[in-house]
Amino acid sequence: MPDQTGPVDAGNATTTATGTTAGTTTRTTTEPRNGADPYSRDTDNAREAHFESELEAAEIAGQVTSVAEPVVARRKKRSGILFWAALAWVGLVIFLALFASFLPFKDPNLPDIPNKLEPPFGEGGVLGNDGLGRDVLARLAYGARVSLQISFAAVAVGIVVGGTFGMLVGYFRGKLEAGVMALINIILAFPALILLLYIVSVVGQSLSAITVAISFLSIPVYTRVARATTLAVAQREYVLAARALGATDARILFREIMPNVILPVAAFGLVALGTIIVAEGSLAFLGLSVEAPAATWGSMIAEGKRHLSETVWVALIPSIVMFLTVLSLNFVGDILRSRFDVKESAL
Amino acid sequence: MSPAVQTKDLPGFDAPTTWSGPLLEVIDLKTYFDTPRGIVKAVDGVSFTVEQGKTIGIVGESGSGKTVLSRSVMNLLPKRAAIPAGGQILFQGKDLRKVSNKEMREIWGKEIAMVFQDPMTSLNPVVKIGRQITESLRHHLDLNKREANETAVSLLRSVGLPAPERRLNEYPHQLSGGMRQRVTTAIALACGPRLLIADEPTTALDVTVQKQILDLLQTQQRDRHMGMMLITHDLGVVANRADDIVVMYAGQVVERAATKTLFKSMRHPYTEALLRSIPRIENRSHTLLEAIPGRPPDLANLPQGCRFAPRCRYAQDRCVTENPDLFLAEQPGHEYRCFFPVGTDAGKDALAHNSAVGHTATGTPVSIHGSAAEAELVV
Amino acid sequence: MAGSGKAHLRPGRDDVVLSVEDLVVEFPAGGGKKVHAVSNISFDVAKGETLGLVGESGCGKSTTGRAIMQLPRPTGGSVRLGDRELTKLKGEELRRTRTQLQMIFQDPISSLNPRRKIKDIVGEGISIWGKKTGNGDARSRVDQVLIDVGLDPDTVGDRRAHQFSGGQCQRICVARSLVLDPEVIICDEPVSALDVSVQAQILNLLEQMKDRYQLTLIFIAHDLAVVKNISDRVAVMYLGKMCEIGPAEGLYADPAHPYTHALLASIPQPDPNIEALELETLEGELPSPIDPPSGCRFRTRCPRAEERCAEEEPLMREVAERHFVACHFPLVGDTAPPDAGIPVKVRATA
Repeated sequence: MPDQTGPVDAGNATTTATGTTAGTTTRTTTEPRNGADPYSRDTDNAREAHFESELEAAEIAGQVTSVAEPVVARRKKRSGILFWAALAWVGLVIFLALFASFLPFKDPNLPDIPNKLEPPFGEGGVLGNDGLGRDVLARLAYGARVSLQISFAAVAVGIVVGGTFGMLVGYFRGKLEAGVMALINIILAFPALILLLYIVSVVGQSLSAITVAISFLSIPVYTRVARATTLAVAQREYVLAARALGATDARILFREIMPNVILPVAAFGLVALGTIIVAEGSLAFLGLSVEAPAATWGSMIAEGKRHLSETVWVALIPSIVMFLTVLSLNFVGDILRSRFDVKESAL
Repeated sequence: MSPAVQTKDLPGFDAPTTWSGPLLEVIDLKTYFDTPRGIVKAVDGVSFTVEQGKTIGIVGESGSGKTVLSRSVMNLLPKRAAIPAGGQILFQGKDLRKVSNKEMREIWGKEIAMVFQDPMTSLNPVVKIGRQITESLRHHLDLNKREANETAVSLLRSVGLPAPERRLNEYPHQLSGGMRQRVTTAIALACGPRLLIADEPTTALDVTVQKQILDLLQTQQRDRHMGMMLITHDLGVVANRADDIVVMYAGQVVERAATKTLFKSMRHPYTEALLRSIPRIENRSHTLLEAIPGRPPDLANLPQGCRFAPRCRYAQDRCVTENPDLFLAEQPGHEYRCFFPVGTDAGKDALAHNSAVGHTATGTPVSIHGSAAEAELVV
Repeated sequence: MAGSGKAHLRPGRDDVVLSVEDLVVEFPAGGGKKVHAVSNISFDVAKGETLGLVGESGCGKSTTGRAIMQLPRPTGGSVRLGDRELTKLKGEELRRTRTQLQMIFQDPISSLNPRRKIKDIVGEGISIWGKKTGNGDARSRVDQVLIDVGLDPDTVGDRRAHQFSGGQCQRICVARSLVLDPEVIICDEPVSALDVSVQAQILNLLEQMKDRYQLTLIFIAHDLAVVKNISDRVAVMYLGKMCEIGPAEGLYADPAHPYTHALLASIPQPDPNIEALELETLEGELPSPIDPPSGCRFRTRCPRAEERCAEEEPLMREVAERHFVACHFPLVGDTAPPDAGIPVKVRATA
């Protein structure tokens, strides 16, 4: 047995500070505390025993809270530079998108045929000109608007609508839950891109139409995340205690459940931002995003594709920008999430 | 238990031992952890000996360092976090602190085995029980598949698991908590280890199952003439099962003695307080318990003096400034870490003084009866 | 064990605050089967009394506690608090009545919302129902209960649960349960997650609070010594049924039910003069609550079981003063074996 368990234990313990509690503290991070019990076929007896040890783990974890937090601090330091670089990049993109019209950019849609396909740092814009001689930097900045508007809207709608749905069905359970989850699984099973294509072909290619379409499609995932978290939180004893004090369902949802569900859902949303930027890119690549000549990152890549034989810049630059943005978002999201997780485990 | 199988038939039962000295000698063991808050002294200068065929009980609450101690002995601590700050772990004369992981692999399971607190996490949930047992049998004892299976069945039978043939093909979640702990015990015993470390083996179990498992460990330990380290927070668990008891507090041994000596003439106030704070079944209902005030110290920020002083009703000025060494008591092998030991004149005077003043040297209030007041105002 | 029957109820007493009759809790187990978590349990608790509910995991003791709170509602039976039948109450009336019953749970850390401040957690009851009369404003009420449980409101109030140790969290839970001045507090394994040295602090605290707030306690635990320490009466449960109920002293000194006897014999005693291996052990495993044994549910593991135990469910009957047992062959009275080993007495002479 030591052969099997030994190394695992050692591995478990590496992330935490004190050995006594090492295994247990980590365990609470990696395992859903309640709710998703993987041994649901157990007898009541066995399950209670399982819980007991879990509770013990929580008890021990509670004792080292003060130890666990500095571990986070240390991790923060180690990943510090990358984290700040990623954050700075996201900040830059947001800044450019917000203030594109106030910054001294050329008109992003003004063709300048004589200077087309000018390489970066040449006669044209800082980042060169595209196939119609339009300034690439200006188009990136205006394109960021589209990408960000769509992704922020989608995430916001997802968190608010999907999160609310998920919380409600996760808390009240019953037939409503079965119905909503069935619906959501159907939507999720449907290839999203095809659904998007269909919606766009019906409602048209305006920015708001596309925003609505993508937002709608992002609801189900949030519902699932929120529901799963709610299931776990609703089993916590503080929810029972609140009921014993006579709290109404609404009060329990707002005071006890929501504060514990919103952080994991928001952290998920941060990572999902990147996914949506890519989704919009795919749509644009297929020529189904905002109508030309308005710039989006996806349409810039699609246009650049035509000139690949002459120059790679036109396609490469928006690709790199998109890549860095998605990477940074994921990175920031991951770090924030791990910070929530560790805090959770220390509780 | 009713082992239908004679333990003698099992592998490793009469493994020839040429070693005649103490099975395990832990000398001044120190295991620290480097944390951003400072050095956590989880195990700070612990010494004890396990003789062959004897059981040593290691008693302490959470944070006393008993689990780190057991993992240090097993060499199972993460190399990155733990600092082996000093001391020796001599297993049959060989210092385990200097042994490589590769060599350790030959010792794990075969020489030293461990039973963990939570059988659900120490068993692999997606591997059948049969394979979990035969794996180490085949690795260490070089048995073929059929032999290993046969041995596994007799092992499971010897730990009192009903219908062992059927169990081989079951997964851990199909068993109850007690049966799982029997399986982990069987796995630990599979290769006939010389030393069995049981780390809170019954904490997660019900009282009747707890007795079954403890009885099982005790019979196996006797039949196989193993050394056993029984680690627990419950003095009741070790009182009638261990030959010697080591009481740990905040990373140090505070008292060590033969079990009967310890219960008859304990010297350390923590041992006394621990025993008094347990509700006893003989006592009448509503007996006021003598709780230990406060809580164990932060291992990264230990008090300068005696580590128990802030909670001790005997504490004097000297205890605040100076951490006592282990002193020898009259009985051979009995040691305690206290300037004002229980049951001695020094201890009585200290208690009388504190009662008269109304508080100990660390400011813990003491009632007229000499018990420390327990209200704990968080500051 | 099975004990059904209500011979042990005390309908004549006028100080009974909580009475539970024929409580049944079943959960669906899939495939049309049911988990019989609690089957026909009856008991009553008098004002100021502490009733200990003891049994191993899976015996239904926690389920009983929650069914009393109507969280969730029991499948059948009646739960009366004073003159109100809780199983019939709905909506606001149930919520308001329920505040007279409070619960303290096993895991002090999971019992406190990690995102809320301690003063908000403790003051939750007041913020739901408005301030109670005679105790000044909400703030001072919260401060008062915090002081009563041994915490300093000024330093504790603005912190969150993760900054406290298990014992301190349990004190906070006690404070929260006291804030609305309840009649009955149901303590569900309140000390089993705590270290022994802290466990005694919490047990003593519960005794103090019981006096100060004139509480009636139902104390659910698996540790028999802990239960004896705090209880006036003790009820032993096994697989959803009640085996035995009686005054703590009598029940521990002369256990009448073979299961109680086995439980008492299993407790590890901090006494090196007892040879652990010589004490008897309860063999076998707990049967499934989905398909419990017929007749007496303990018969599959009972050393005294006979045919009658499989056919006929034993009913509660009095074997000593106020000491009732549901067993055909109890260990006291006419059926007592000549060599009845009474574990506690054996120990006392050992």
